[in-house]
Amino acid sequence: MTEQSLQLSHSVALHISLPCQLDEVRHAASRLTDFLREQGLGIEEVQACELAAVEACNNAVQYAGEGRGEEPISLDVHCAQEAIELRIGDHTSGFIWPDEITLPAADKERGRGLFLINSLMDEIGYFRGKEANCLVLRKRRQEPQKALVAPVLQHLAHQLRESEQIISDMAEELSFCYESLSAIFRCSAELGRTHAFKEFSERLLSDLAQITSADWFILRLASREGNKLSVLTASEAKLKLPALELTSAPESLSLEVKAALSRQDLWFEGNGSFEEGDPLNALASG
Amino acid sequence: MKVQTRGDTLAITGLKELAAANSQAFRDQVRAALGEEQKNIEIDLSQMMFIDSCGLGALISLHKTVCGRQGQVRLLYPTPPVRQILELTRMHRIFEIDQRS
Repeated sequence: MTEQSLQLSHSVALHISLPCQLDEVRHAASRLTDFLREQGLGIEEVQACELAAVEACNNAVQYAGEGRGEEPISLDVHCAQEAIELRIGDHTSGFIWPDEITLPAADKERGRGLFLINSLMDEIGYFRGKEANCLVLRKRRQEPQKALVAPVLQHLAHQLRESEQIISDMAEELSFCYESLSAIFRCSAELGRTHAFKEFSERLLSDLAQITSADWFILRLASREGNKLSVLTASEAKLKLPALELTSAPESLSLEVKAALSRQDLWFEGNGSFEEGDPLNALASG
Repeated sequence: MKVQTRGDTLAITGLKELAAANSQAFRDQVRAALGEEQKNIEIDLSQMMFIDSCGLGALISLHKTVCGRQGQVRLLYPTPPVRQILELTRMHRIFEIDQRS
């Protein structure tokens, strides 16, 4: 089987040449349906064209005359915005297209092919020649491109909503960062004018607690010797806790010591439950 | 395609298409599998995505075979494209067709 795909100004065309064998008809039909789906046809349109083409090609194979079985059958497909056109060329002796096409009797095993073609297609032309014939089938497209466009639009709308949500979240975060940064710059400017470091720290952390909606804060500083963490300021009196020994002993249970030694942020649950022995359990008391 | 016997019924499953290229072989295979005890044929069409006029002819041929045994051909769960062709060609007046709910 050979095929060629040709882009025309107003339609897209596919040419298939297939050997005069029933097996080859199904292969050609498979290529036809792939092509029609690529052009955005709906599933019912594709199935109708497939069956009509198969019936026409089957006839071309089954009625090939003596010595004509070697000559290929041609299947040309033209897909335009308004309609699809199928042209099946054969080398049978041809026949007289009936004026009226009806279903055969229920017990007849043959004779439904023309009825199916006639039922599935909107226009039919049969051109009988001396040594070649051409059957032209045309099917109007019901809603051109709509079957393809609708899901694409839906996908784009979903992507747009997601992007808008991301932008909204980013704007909110940016606003938060701006406020934090403003507070830090304000406090830094003030630090340059004051020697009251403790009061400055309290003010800075109070501002940050407000911006971040934090429930409490503790600021500990390490001693010059680097062996103790002492509370400089805290949001509540009960958090002005004793100094902590900075030890690398693994049995140390204090969250603050762990954070100081690892120099990493350590997250904890907001319900205030800490490991046994951790001074921060003072938050849970009274 | 699988062919199984269930009492007086020959059950066929796994049929993907019934077209000119395979309809004759299908018909012959089913006839060969039809024992003396079987008078009905059940064909599961839930996986069949294509049938042409030759495939319909094969079904009618089997229908005539079992009619001679006072049996029937039952078509089970045809897919939408196959159901459309069965209705278009009024096969629903000849065969018992079970639709999946």
